[in-house]
Amino acid sequence: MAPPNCILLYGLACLAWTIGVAFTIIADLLKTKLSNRLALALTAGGALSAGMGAIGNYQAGIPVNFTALKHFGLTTLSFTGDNLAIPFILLLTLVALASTLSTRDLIDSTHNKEGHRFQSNHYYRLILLLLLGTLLVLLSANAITFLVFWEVMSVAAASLITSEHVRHRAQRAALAYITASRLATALLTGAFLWMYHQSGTFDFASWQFQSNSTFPAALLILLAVCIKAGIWPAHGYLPQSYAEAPGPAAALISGVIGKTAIYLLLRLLVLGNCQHSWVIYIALALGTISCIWGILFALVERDLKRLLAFSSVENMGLIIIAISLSMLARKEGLPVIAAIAVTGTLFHAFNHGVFKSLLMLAASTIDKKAHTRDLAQLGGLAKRLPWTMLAFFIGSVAICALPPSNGFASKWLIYQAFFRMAIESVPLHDRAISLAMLGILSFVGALSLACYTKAIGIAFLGRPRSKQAQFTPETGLSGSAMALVILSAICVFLGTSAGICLRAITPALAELNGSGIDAANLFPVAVAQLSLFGLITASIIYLCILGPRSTGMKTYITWDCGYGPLSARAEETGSSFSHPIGRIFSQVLQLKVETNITGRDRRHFPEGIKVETRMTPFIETTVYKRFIEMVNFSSLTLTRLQTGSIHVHLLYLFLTMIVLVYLGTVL
Amino acid sequence: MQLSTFEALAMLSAVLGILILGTTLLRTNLSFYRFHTLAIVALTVWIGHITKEAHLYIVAAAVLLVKVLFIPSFLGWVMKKAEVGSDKQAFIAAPLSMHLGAIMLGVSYLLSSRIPGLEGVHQEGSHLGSTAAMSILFTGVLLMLTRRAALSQILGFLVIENGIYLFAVTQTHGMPMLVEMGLLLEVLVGVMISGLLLFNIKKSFEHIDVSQLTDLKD
Repeated sequence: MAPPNCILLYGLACLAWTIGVAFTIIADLLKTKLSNRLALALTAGGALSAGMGAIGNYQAGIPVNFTALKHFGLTTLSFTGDNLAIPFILLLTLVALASTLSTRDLIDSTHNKEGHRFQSNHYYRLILLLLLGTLLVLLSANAITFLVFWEVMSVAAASLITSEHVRHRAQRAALAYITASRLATALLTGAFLWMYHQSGTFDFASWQFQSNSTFPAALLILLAVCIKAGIWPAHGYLPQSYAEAPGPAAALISGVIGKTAIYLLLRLLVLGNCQHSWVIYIALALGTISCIWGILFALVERDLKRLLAFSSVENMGLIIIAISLSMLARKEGLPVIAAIAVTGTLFHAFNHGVFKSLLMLAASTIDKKAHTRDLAQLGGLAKRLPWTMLAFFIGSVAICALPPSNGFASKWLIYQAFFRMAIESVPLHDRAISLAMLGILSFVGALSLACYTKAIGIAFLGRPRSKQAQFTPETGLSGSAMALVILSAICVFLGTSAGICLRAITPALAELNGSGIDAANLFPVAVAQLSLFGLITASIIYLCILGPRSTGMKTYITWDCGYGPLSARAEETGSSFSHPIGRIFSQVLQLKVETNITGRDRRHFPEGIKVETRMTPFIETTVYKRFIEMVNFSSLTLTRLQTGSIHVHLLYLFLTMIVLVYLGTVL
Repeated sequence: MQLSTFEALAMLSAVLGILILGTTLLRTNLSFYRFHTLAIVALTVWIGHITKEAHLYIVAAAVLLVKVLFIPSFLGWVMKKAEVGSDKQAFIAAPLSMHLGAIMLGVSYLLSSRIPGLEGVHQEGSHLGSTAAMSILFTGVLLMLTRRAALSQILGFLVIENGIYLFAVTQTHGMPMLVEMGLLLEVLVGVMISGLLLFNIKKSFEHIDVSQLTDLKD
């Protein structure tokens, strides 16, 4: 039995959020606005209390089934707070606090861009519901409870995306999001019913996935998780929805909601010891494709938030790959590799939550200040938003997995698992896959480095490319900047003290792999020494090469290329930066460039040069579009059945009756 | 082929039902409906006699009162007030629809081969009770499908109801009294309401052709 204080704290968190929701409803009824201060205090208080609950639960150290409130339809409404949920609850707390801190800066509570009133009551209500749903999803102990709160979470997220519902793009994004989450829920429901049929219970803890008869359920769960996490080919909704959600909400959705899908996969398939090789290889294949696909599209993307969303697709792919590797190793009877891979998964999921919400908040800050997210319009933000620049830089370093950041630590573990897999005595094709995956991962890593170099280089360096980017610089540390600085400090902390963090998640891992391998020993790199070494190297470089400035050295603005002060229009743009790589992968990206030079002597004296770059996202234009057309066509055909004539409807009735009677007599 | 009394009565009701399809004169339709229901009443009494279920006699009396005496007279009165005599322009000509009804009788014979019915009432292996019930069901649907006049729709509904009633009577030892009476009351109310509606339709549109009422879709 857990100490009652953590139950109390979780309860307090739910209570705070529920009271917040009630307050917003009352405020709506009274036609006033709930005070920002109160709403934010309730949000933050709930988050803090949930986080403290998680810490208390951690010290209890044992899985507890602490509430079975009452009968809830098919089963009891029961929750459990075990060690696996703790990292995710902490992540939720962290991101919720950061987004709360930055809400007042990022949300214009009076008017938005188009001059429509921003409905702050609506916004706070949905944020609170989202947090409530997510916390209870992480705590739920059986399938029915899980599905209920999963729906609360999904619907709240979809409604948050429509916060600026007058915009056509927001409507489309919300529709796409809700379609995806409905699909995921449908698949999950199918899987849960199948498992109920197999095991006779809805309790997650008693579900095992070894036997052949559980294969459909395992596959359905995998597919549902892939849809929810935005894995290829169901990634299409991520860029739209992340770009349209209001800043703090986008941070929550990108940082936490996708992770709940990963959490589900860990809880069911990894804890349930899934042994189906088809599921494992499908997960591996989908993860690999979405890795490459996501980073390629992120690289050529112009919209900063969409770029981050595509990068999320890549990272989610990476996490799925790591999970499938751990299942594969487990199946082959290699508990050490399974433990390393699952450690990498858990750590990377946490890290990605932190740095992706950091980057998302930074992008929202830029959006708020410059009123655009288009890289071609930005530039020179380093002087105007120094804190945001710093945070974005640290976040990018982390997401590109450069030491000493946390991204490096978790990716290192995943690499290590693959290296070990490649030299183990497992079937040849598994070793070949491991080697190939190493190549693919490093390729993806290099591309993500290019992608974030582009994002920072174009957005923050150089000169402003438009009037919009020439706003007054930020003064002092505003709330959002503070949130960013805190998050980046956490990134650095998680990276430099990876050993401590891994020791902290050891109980969760012990639960996951059951082999009791101490996770702290899995990261043998002496990060502190390495960091010291890097620091010394950097200082030497600075002192010996950059420090003694010779008289002939001149200072230029970044994209001037040594030519002297060029105009902002002559600078490198995002498109031109990513063009070479885009060209190499033009088959995948469907990138087409048309250059049109006009003038009498077009070779020497061109009068007009027009360059047009076009990119058609393959999946969206072929698969999705076909699918949507098919649905539309079939719905139109079906409405033709409804003629409105009494006789035709009677005929349908008659035919149904005959069929039913026939079935009744034959069967 | 030797038919027991039970089977003969069941077949009689089915055939009388099919005869409703044979004409578009509404008054004749009503009289056939009267006889058809009378056969069903007789069948109910007979089943009550065989199975010694006393409450079936009460049910039969109630059906006689409501469906044989009251409803046809009520509908006849409505017809006279609304000044409709026959159901012109049926979708399928009356003789043809009667033949269809006969074919449906055969089909229901095939369909009902697996529904033997009550022990003791039927002969061993006979399933003519459920055949008749199903055939009456189909007859009612055909009536509703092929006719235009609202009155024929009401009649079709009544025939379908008879089919369902017959099915229940031949398959079980009679439904509980309360259910039976409730159903009867429902039919009565339904017919009265639709009769009054028919009145209003006639008054507003100058016709009672339901094929022109096509605002059922959204």
